[in-house]
Amino acid sequence: MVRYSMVIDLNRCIGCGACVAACIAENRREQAMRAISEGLTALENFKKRTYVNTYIQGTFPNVSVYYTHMICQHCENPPCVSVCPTGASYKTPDGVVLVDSQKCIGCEYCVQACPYGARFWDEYKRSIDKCTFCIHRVSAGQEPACVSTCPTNARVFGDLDDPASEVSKLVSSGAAVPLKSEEGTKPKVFYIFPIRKR
Amino acid sequence: MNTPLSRRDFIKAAGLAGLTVAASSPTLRLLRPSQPQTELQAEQEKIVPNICMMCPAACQILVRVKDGKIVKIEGNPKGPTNLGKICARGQAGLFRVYNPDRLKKPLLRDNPAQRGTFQGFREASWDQAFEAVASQVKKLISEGRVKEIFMLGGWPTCLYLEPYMKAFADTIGTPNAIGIPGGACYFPKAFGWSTALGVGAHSQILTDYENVKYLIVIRRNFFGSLSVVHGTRAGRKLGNYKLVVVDPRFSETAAKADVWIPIKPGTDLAFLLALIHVVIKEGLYDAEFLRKFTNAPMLVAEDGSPLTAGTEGGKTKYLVWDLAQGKPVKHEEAILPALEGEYNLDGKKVKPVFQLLKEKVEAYTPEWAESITGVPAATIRSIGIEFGKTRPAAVDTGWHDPKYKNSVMTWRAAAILNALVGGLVKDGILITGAGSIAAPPPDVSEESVMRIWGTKQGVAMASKGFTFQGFLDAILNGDPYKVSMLFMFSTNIALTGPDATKWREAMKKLEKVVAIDIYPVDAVLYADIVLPESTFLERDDPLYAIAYAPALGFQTRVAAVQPVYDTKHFVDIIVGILRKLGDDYYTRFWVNLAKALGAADPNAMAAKLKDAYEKNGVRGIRAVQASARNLDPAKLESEGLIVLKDSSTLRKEMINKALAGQLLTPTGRIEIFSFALNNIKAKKGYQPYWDPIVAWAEPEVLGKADGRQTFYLTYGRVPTMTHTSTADEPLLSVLTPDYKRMAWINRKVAESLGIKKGDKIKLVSIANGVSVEAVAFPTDLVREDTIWVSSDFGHTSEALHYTKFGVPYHFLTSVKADPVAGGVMSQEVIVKVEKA
Repeated sequence: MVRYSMVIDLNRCIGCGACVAACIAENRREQAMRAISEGLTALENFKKRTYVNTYIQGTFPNVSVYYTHMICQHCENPPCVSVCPTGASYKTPDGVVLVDSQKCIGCEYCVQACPYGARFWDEYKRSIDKCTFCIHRVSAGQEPACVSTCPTNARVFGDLDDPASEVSKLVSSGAAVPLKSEEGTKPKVFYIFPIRKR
Repeated sequence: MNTPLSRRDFIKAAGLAGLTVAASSPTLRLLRPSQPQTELQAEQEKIVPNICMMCPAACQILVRVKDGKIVKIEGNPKGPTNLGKICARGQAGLFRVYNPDRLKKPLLRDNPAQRGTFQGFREASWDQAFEAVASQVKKLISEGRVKEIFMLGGWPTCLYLEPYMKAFADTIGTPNAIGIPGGACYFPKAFGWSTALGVGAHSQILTDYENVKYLIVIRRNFFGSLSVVHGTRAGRKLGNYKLVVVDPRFSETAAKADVWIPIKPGTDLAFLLALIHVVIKEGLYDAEFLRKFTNAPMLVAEDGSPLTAGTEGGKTKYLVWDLAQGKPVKHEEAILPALEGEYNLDGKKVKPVFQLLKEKVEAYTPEWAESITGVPAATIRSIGIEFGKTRPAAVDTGWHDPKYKNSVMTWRAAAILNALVGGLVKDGILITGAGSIAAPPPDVSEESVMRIWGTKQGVAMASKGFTFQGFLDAILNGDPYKVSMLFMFSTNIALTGPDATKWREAMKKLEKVVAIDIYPVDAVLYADIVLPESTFLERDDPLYAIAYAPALGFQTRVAAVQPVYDTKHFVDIIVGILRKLGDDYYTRFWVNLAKALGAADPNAMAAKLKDAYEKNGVRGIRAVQASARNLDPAKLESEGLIVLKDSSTLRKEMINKALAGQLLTPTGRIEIFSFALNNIKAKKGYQPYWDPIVAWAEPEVLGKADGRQTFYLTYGRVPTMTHTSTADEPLLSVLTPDYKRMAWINRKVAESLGIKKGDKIKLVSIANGVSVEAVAFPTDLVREDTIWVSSDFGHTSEALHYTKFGVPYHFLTSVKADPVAGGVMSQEVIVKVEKA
């Protein structure tokens, strides 16, 4: 079996936003074109499947800036799937959590249920939208758009069931850890948290 | 007037179907089952190579095209510049093509009073537009006023099509063309490096991020500018090297650093001099490297003149003291050249350059530097020792720096510090493929305004013609002579010209202004004739050397899609104008172009270029260039690039060149004693700004800000913007956080002034009295005496719909030129801060 997984190394992340732009270009291009035609306000409200937040800490000159990344965690126990009344949210045999836009009625139960804020209503597609791990690229032997473009290789993608994969090594060594493990969701996105401190 | 494209047109252009009415709440949506997806007839995707132009880093890209539309851009995995990676701007490139704000047809207007606005334009055919340009050019030619035509190019011209612009100007007969905004960009930094290394532009040198173990970064933010060539190499090796970032504000690069040194603006030179002091004092220098790779052993007489021994193969030879033979010999004949001591030669006292350097920096102690930089002496000493003990270590190359009067000497000090630890050519700072085939920049015509003005200002390197600042005097005062017709090639001089208010006034006084651009940016609003250019994704380009990479090769652009609007290639635009001027001009252009491209036999090359262009357009030019270099045009078009020398081959070759004394410096070695600066000294007398070895040279603003009422004004890059060129990119505009568009002011200082986040403040230039409005961002990420703004500089053009706010920085700067390279001294600015 394959269990797709992603590790995000926040030490490597330089906060450039290439992942965010790549995701939009790859997965939400038509929607972005529409928002562009509607103007700056529509763009300001444009939803993203993955985003990067910046945190500023400390007082001059002992300061630090951290970046955090949010993206669908592709949980082993996805609460979004269990609350979905129509079966639109589902998990593939490869462990990727997807939304069938034909079945989605936009009730947003899943948006409420997701502890990670990874889902949103896409008013252009008229369905809930979220990260798919770029499964269309992965099936074609490519990396997800965000992983492939990341200038510093901060995002690593691979098979958790393959002990030789980089993601497996990072996870089994304990370097990469899940977010909100107390939720029992068993995410397949793992983070390496910043260790660099002045 | 004709409005820009309406939304309906845009939706057609972008290939979107009818509008969807958004259901606003989940409850309502329950009543509206989602529409079935229409299966598109799946056409196979095409992959077309190109070079990204969202910034000057020239990343190699692959463009995915489907059904005649660009669907995605990927980094080209074969590209040695960016190693398959691209940044947010590169990813957003496709949205540029379909941006409804683009210039879509030639525009003409008759009323110069409407300059500065987007009013009064009428759409015209290309034929009419070319005629309008040509008739003014003809008029000036017939009246003997052709020198009144002047041309300014922005970075797209600099990087790619400068030879074409130059040939255009030469053909028309004006000496006033500058397609390389060196004075506003890189030249002071490049010249500083080149005084030691022979080369120094950002395309010519590269920090060896893959192997370096200790890296000091000054006046630079490579994770914020994200020139991917540097950002990707430095980023994937984070943790492998100690990173020391010297910057008055906590930049994106500082965020990843081990040490942030918030230095007083403009004083990096003092910091570097103290590091040199420590490395020498502690005996941590690489004497072997200095003997073999540099002219550190060269003997210098008491009067400061080097002991030269004629020239061989165009290189200046000189004497060293050979300790093995106990006598002076030419460097290459010495067994063990002395670095230290004093020797007697025909009754004259002589010393090696290294001895002079040692004596020179004796006074530049960490304590001395602390008093200037505000960096504690203990910090400087410990960094100096770590730097000296770690191999390989380097001070980063930098990229842009026309910031201070001492910029040239600052980068010279960086080069010398690198040389001390063996961090040049073999390790630390490498020479790129583009650097390996570089020639010194040529002199421009003595009749050019740039050169006459620069000379008058006392700029030592005025002959290189980078001092575009001079055109202001020419327009406003007819000094040295009047200029009346301006061609702007992708330059936003209304925002980037020092003392921008004056540039705006000046542009209103011209007889005719022609703008060639993709967007109606602020400067374009001052034009009478607007010629819309195709974007990089819509065009085939000539052949270019691969820039920035540690490899030698060539690359090109292949049009991914046909122009979406009625736009043309830069080359087609100037050829269109020349055809209107007559056959004579058109024919001569090809000869001038062949010359500008460096052809050995310009007439023969001109015939080939003309013929190929007439048959195949710009693609034809590329084919001629490729065949002249024995490159396979088919491979170029399918892969976008051909690499001739990989990084290890190139490194070995450059090491051999340095050891053989064949670098581009006058002596062919790394010059710890600069012959170029010594020549300036001979002409102009001694000033520390051109000390042939190294010296402390003050910035103008030193000690002028108190951090209470007065502040040093600084600017820098953010990763989602490329100075003023991306402000109207719809996606990038909203991906750039608002706080990065605000004026950063130290939190404590802001509190004492009663300024809160989001408050409107006024920045008032002490020098010219101009004030601009900014939004305050009180933060701990900046020094108390410093204001920082991002270099997209805000836009006010009414024709742009995706711009957000920013700080129009250059309203606050003054027209200046540094005394060596003629740089604009863009951070020699003190401002007062007031609540608006």
